[in-house]
Amino acid sequence: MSEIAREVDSTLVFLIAFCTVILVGVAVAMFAMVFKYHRSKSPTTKQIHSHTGLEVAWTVVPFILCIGLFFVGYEGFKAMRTPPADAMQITVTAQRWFWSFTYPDSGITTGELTIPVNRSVKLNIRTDDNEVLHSLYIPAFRVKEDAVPGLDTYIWLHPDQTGTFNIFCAEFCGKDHSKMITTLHVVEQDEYDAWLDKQVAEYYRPVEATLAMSDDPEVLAGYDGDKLFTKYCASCHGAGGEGGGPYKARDFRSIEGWKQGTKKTDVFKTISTGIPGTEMRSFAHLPVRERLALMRKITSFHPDRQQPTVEDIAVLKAAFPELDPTRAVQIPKPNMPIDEAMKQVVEEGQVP
Amino acid sequence: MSAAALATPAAINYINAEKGILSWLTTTDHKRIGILYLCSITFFFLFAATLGVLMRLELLSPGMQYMDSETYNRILTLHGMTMIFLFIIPAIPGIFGNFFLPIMIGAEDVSFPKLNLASWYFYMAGGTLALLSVMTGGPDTGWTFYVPYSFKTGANVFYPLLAAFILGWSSILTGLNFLTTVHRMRAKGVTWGKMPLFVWSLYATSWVQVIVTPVVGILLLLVLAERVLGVGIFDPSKGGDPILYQHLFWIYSHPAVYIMVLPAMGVVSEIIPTFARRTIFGYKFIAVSSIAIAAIGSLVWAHHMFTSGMADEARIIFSFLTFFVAVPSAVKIFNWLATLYGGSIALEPPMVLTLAFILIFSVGGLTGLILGALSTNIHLHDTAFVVGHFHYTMFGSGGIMFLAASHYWFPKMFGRMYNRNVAYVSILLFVIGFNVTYMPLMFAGVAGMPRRYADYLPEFETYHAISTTGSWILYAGILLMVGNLGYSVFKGKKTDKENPWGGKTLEWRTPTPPPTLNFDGEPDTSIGPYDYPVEVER
Repeated sequence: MSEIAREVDSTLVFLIAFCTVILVGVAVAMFAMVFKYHRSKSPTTKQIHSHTGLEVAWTVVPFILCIGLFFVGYEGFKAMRTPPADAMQITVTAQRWFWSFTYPDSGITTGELTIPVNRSVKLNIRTDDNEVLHSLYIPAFRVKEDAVPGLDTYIWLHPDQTGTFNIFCAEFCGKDHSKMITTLHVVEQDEYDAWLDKQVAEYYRPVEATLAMSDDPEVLAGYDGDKLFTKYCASCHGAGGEGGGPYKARDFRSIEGWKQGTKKTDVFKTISTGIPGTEMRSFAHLPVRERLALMRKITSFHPDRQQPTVEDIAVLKAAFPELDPTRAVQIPKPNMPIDEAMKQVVEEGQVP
Repeated sequence: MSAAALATPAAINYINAEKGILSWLTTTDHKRIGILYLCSITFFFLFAATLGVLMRLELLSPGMQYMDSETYNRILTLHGMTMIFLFIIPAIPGIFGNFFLPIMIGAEDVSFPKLNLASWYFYMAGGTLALLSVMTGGPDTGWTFYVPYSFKTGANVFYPLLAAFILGWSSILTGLNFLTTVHRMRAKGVTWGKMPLFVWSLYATSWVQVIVTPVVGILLLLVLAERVLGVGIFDPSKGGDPILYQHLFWIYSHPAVYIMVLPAMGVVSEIIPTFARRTIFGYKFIAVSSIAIAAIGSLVWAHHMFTSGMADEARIIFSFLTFFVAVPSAVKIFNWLATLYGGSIALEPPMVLTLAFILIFSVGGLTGLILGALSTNIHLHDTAFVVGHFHYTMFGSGGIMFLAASHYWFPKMFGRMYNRNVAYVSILLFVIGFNVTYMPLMFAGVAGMPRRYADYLPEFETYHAISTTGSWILYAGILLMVGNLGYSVFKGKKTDKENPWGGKTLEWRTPTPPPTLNFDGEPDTSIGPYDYPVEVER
């Protein structure tokens, strides 16, 4: 919960009470008159055409009440849309049909959102230009905002209790709209720091290319390819890799007609860069071991395929520093909102 | 009314004047066209209701049981599209407006009878296209066709967009016809101040139809252009703006809400005076509030977009405007209640449905205030709360009053009477089922259940299970009600009573069923639509 969520709740309770009073009033008036003036009791009628005073009263009073109700809603809204300047900025990327959260400074990206308690967090919401609409909805904090291609939007929270909460997509986005759900973890600051350190370490831990292309299970200990596949691939490529679906995705059980090749090196490259001009997007923001686990899972659907040559592996190693322990890993930052980027451009352009 | 008119029921009426299916399909008689609409609209209503029951069935428990999520999305889209474009927008104007508007103003027909028939054919063409789209898999975009999804999806949205476009023509032509008819065809003595309120409400509705429907027509063409030609108006990857689509869509679709509600309110203003034997309270105010709702209702469209990414300032302005549209609706409720005061109330089936409307529509209107307030809207927007809210307002007005109007005008239209006991049972099932279906959705929404979800987290199961149970009761009520009426069209007890309920509008002063030219001789316009005699001052 947050202060804002509590305020929304009290507004909601007030409005529901207000509506209930009016509804009960209408119902009592109606039933009383039906009872009193039922034809069995009231065979005669009196004809009243209008009553100006009464009609003006029941026009003006609702009018004033309505203006009052507007301000009740407006007050809470103002706070909701005014994040404090020192809020921690996290970039949220909406894609069919999962969420990614990119953290400041370290630049790492995760599939679930973890934030420290008692700190303001501004969630900058973005999506790719070739995406559809989504909406970031965290019911526990009573906030929601659409992700719109070509537009930066935001929500902000200031959790004052730790806990685990749902994050939903609230704008219809197709096939797995109802599966576009993830989790928000609100944790103590020291727990957050420890978690972040661990994530960052994992991100900056390269895998040697030859080892990466091998089948050695030790390399990917702790990574569950099945689970990752379900999360990132199954929506389009099917739980059994059969492909099809709304975007006519590749059938992984066959090795015919793959646009960028079928070798492990090719598959890793495709996962990391996407296929331009198609709905296949880049997953470069995932830690290298997650991408490798996906590669192994995908190639396992049709194990009888050409193995990468030494040259293939060398080319791959040159292109991806995360496969070369002698170089520093670079984390791609594809998820920067436009206004953040502009700020950075201005800062970089400043003459000291 | 003259004793002579009562004594000589017309042997020849609009039903038996001509014979054969072709005589119906080529008719220009507004009453027969009303019957054509009645048949086709009832079909689409039952079709869409069945889709709704299927959706609720899938939502009975978490996980996918009976269909996959793509099928669910298609059913969701078809349910919404059919209910809105093929049922609730055309229902009351198409059936009862066509049948009774000319009679109520003492005219022989509408201004443009051939255009009137053409608009039914447009309706059928649109309906057929919508059904054809099912055979090609059906659209999966939701009835709102939001971009970029609607030009990106692999599903066939060409047919449904074209269908909606053609249905828009039907709507515009009907509106144009009614406007001209009201202006030019009123019988001597039917002044603006003596027009039945049902006619006033159709008049206001027609202006909305004629003015805003072209906007959605153009919009649908633009989406088709985006899909087929890739023109880039809405496509962000080409510099287009998806939010522009939402503005254009709601500039039509919010006023369309009043296209659905206003005619229903018009029917209420007819039924209550008849069964309370009382003149309507505040005639002028009700007439003017129809126009006010139509006018203010055209200025509040962006309250559907409070979380769309639209500028905060725009959200504030539209929230402010939204509250004003609540006022004329509230005033109407108060006027109807005041009409019950001092009356002599008979609880016939149409009246019971109308009283149910008052309570159900009040829930819809009041929950609208909760959604109109900005801070609560942010939480509740796009949740099951909205689904509950709009079923209370749309189904609760246009739907219920379609059924009430069917029971009210049935004897006049067919010269037969339905079984009243069956009618009461079906109304009871309907009202219970309605509330059990839609009330839990509001609670689910408050708890954070998003809408348009094929599947949901187990924590929401209780709400969904109750709602699905309600949908079975509701469906049973609808089938029983429609069955009772459908059976009675052919087998109901015959009646040639000119005025079974004691109404004062002109349709109750013409033979049952009405003759082809509506009246035997000149209509008697000496009595106003709500001139009930003062029986006793108490």
